[in-house]
Amino acid sequence: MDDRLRLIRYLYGEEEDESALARRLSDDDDLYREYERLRDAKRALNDRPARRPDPAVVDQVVDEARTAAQSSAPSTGDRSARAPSRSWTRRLQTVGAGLALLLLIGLGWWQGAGVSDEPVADSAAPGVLDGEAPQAPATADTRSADADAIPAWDDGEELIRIQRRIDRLQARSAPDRWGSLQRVSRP
Amino acid sequence: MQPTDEELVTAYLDEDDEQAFRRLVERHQDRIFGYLMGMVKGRAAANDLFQETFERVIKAMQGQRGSYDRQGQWLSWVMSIARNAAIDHTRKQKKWAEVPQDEDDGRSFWDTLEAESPYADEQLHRAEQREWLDEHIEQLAPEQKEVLLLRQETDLTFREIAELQDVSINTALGRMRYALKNLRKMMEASNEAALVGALDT
Repeated sequence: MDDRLRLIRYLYGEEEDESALARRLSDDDDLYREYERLRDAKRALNDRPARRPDPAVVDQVVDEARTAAQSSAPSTGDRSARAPSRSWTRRLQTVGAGLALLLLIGLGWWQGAGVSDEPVADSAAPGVLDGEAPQAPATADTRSADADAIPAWDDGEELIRIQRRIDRLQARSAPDRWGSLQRVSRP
Repeated sequence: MQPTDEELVTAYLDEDDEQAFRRLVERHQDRIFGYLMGMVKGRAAANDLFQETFERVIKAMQGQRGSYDRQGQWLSWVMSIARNAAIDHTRKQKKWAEVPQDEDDGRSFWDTLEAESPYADEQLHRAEQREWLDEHIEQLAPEQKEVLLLRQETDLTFREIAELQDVSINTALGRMRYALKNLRKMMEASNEAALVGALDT
């Protein structure tokens, strides 16, 4: 960049390498003279008092800002949704974490109870097979677990039916068994 | 710690905080009004333009007309609106006959600068000095005058000014250089004229 343009940046505090420009100013008399002239003009500008609008104008502007904010408030559909406040977000996070923990504990308890019930169901099945009266289950859950543990065909009536069929077959085969003991003599 | 411009903008837009908006206006009123005073002739016109600028700003911020994307450069954005308002005003004014200039009272800038006076007189003196400088700024080429006002009054950086005017940063710096050089020449000419006037009397 041209040194004369860098002078402008220097005067307004925007020059990045001030030390290099200072060296150039000490080496170049023309550049230094230009710097002095520019600096004087800037000083005169800096000495000017600030000017501000009439206070009534500022009040009017703020009134307009309030009116505009109020009139745009009902049409919330056009505006972006407000982010929830941090305190509410924190509360929701705490409650959510608590609920998740309770759910995990509940699941763990339920699974643990299910595993401990399985042997009960298995032990109930042989009792039925042996023709003993089934023990009254403690809960509805264990009852359904027992029912699931016994195969569909393995209930009392079916066993009785099978037993009767066996008895009939044995009864039919009884003459053969008798015959097998006595030789038939044929003429 | 002072809230940033963007924090005040957020408070106004998201919480309808009109006091936040007032703080924004009061924080930057000197800069915006100083620029407008330099661009147009007369305090009444500058007041009107100041209000018109903020009418546009409010509409854009509320999404009623145009838009404001919160990029952390609220003042630059407001200055672009003020600049457009000033350009519109100047175009309208050009349709009318040229406004007559005030007669030069022949006083030197250096005379006003070196005078010593009590506080009340000092304020008057500074006001006169300002008026004298404003008259000379008015004589600068329009592009030089605008860069000078934007840098001196609004404190925008040369990069921001270059973006606002859609020119390179070197062009903006070059315009500023010529503005200061020409202003310095005017001061010297005025001083010489005053000296000649003093010798004649």
